[in-house]
Amino acid sequence: MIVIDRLCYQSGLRYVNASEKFAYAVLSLVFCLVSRSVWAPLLIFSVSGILTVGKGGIPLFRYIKLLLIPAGFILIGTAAVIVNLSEVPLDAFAVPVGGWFITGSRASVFRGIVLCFRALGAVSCLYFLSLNTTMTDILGVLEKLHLPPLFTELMMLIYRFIFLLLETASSIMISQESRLGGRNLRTGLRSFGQMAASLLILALKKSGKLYDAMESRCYDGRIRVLSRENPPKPKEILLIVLFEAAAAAAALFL
Amino acid sequence: MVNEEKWMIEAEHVCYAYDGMEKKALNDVTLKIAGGRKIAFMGENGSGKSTFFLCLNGISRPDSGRILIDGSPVEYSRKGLLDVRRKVGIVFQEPDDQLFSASVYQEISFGIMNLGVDEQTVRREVEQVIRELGITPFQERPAHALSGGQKKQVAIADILVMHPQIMILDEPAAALDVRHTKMVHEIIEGLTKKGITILMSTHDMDYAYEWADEMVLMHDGQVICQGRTEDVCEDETVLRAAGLDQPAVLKLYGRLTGRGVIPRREHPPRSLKELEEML
Amino acid sequence: MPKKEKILLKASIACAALFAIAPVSNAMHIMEGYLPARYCVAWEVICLPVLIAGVISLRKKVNENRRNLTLIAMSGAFIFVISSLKIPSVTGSCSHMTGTGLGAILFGPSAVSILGIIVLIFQAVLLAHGGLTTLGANTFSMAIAGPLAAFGIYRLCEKLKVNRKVGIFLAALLGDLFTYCVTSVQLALAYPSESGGVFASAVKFLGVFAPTQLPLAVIEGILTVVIVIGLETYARPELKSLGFLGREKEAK
Repeated sequence: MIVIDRLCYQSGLRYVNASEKFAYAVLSLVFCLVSRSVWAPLLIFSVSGILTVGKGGIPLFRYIKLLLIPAGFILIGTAAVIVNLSEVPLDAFAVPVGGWFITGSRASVFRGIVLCFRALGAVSCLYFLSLNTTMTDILGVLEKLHLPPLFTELMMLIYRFIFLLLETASSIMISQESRLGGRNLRTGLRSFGQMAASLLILALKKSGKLYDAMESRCYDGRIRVLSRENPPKPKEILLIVLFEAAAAAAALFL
Repeated sequence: MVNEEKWMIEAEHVCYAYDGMEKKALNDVTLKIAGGRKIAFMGENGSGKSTFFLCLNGISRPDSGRILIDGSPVEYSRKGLLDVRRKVGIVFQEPDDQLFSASVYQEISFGIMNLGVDEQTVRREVEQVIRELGITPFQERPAHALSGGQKKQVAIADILVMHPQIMILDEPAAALDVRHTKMVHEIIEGLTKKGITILMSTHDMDYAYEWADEMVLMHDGQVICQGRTEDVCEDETVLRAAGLDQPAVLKLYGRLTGRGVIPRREHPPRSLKELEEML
Repeated sequence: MPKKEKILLKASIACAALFAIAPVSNAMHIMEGYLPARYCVAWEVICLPVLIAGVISLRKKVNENRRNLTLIAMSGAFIFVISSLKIPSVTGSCSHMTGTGLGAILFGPSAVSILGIIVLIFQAVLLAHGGLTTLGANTFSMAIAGPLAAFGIYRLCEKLKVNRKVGIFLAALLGDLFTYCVTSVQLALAYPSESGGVFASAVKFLGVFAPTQLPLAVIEGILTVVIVIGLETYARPELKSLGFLGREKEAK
């Protein structure tokens, strides 16, 4: 049901140590953001893409489709940054409208382009993390980072419960569709609202049963579980360090 | 006759009503169960089977009466409840009501980690139970990608890894296909060999007749009959009172002996195979 | 201006306008990598005290009754699922509820701040809505400011004895609109216009997102009313347990 979730369990990079992947993604994100030109983001975008599609084995067409998700926001947002309405025409372009100009400066066009590259580079880092690391492993890293235990325990439960509720929601909506619940906007909205209300009620009932089941197994206030460890490999760490140094150099000096 | 046997489970006049309900879900339930036995709980939906199970591990506290596990009464202090839940494990009817982690490995490790066991032992036990129950092929998949039967295997592993003395299975084969039902039955066979006392609620009369040492029939929150399987199943009246029917094998045996096709034996057949041998 | 440039410009403006109306109608997540580093950090720092207070408040509720843990988790999962499902819309494009108004009314603003950031993390990782660097900014607009506004208006309407349905509708609608305004300001602060500064930039962003956000806010208002009324009609005892989470001030 959730494409990215399904893909990450099949990734070729799934069993690489999660902290390594997390460090790569976060550091690359940072260097993407601080970069003043397009070179660092371009480098990061390329390497992340190659890792994800090449080593991770994520199908290329899927990767491209996923990249299109933020594309709309990038286009509008960047247009909004570049285009101004002003009384004074700026140097890149100026279209007279009434007494004003729809205009933009060369500097802002340049900034807009850099912004696009930065955003795409950053998105590729996010995708590297989400397409090659299971949520469970990501939560393991967050635990190691000493986030409050209540926070990470909630996240673990919420991750599991999301899929329970998606299944239930799907059944309810199919049943509504079969009874012509989506005939027009009005009935469609009403059906959705009723589905949501039923979903919450079922969710609350289930939460009680799930708690009973946890208590039955001696739950005592802390969720203590073990995971299989994939230890970090020195060769991989070295490669990450080298790459991040290159990215840093590109970000700061190019 | 002096009975020196220590009872594994005892219930004395247990009454319980759900919050805000007038009608009692359990109405003066009294029974004794010996260790290592295979007990089938049968009765209509709402007869009180699941409610009784939840009393056995302290999730529900009886309004009156008491429950003894392995000779000691259930204490509702924090320590007392942990003690009971070490001994009594419940596999819930619906695995989705039980599995809380997306990771199979984490899920199974939860119970045994709560028992304070060291990490190395936990890993050993978890990996052993994964092998034993045939979970290895899908242990890397997330819980939401598992089939109903696979989730059931994980649910059973959840409890088995804690090595309880008593294992309760609430309608273990509900909603399972034939293959997974057979698998569950095989797993249960393995449990008995370890000496675990097994309580199972089921609607499958034929399986219960073949498998159980004893039957407990419940109706409307009361135990209307408890006894050896053969004795209980011969009594059609009490079966009907519990909303049940005689097992098919026994019915056929009755017809065949009634028509003189085969002679009556001291012990009626418990399965089709046994009946075949009689023919 | 030479003709070619004119055509190019008109074409690109038309494109932008098209995208404004077309499927970018997901709620106001600022996407990954869109904010400069110092703003990312700034918003995270601003959110921190609220989040810490939220964790403390949830911890208290779980300590009062451990059963609340799975209850709170289910609530969080519910918000995620509701915000991930497509809602019927006028244009046929892909629209989603934010769930923040509903969450604020049902669970209270402090729970929603924590549940909100968790949902945002899941949305970034699982659905590619929003991002990790923009988590601070998105949390502030969608998990703190919006719910606070929604909750405040909901309470205000209660006090003024406004019709309950109208109150819920206004709370959800204005909560959504407030989120949309806050996000526009966040973007404007990071990308001030050369001619007009932050203010002009904010107007630009408000304008560019308005065609999708305004109808969405109305629809979310309607849906929130349907859901809350549906819950009250069919689930008084369950709502009471929820009321534990958010409405302790109300004597029931």
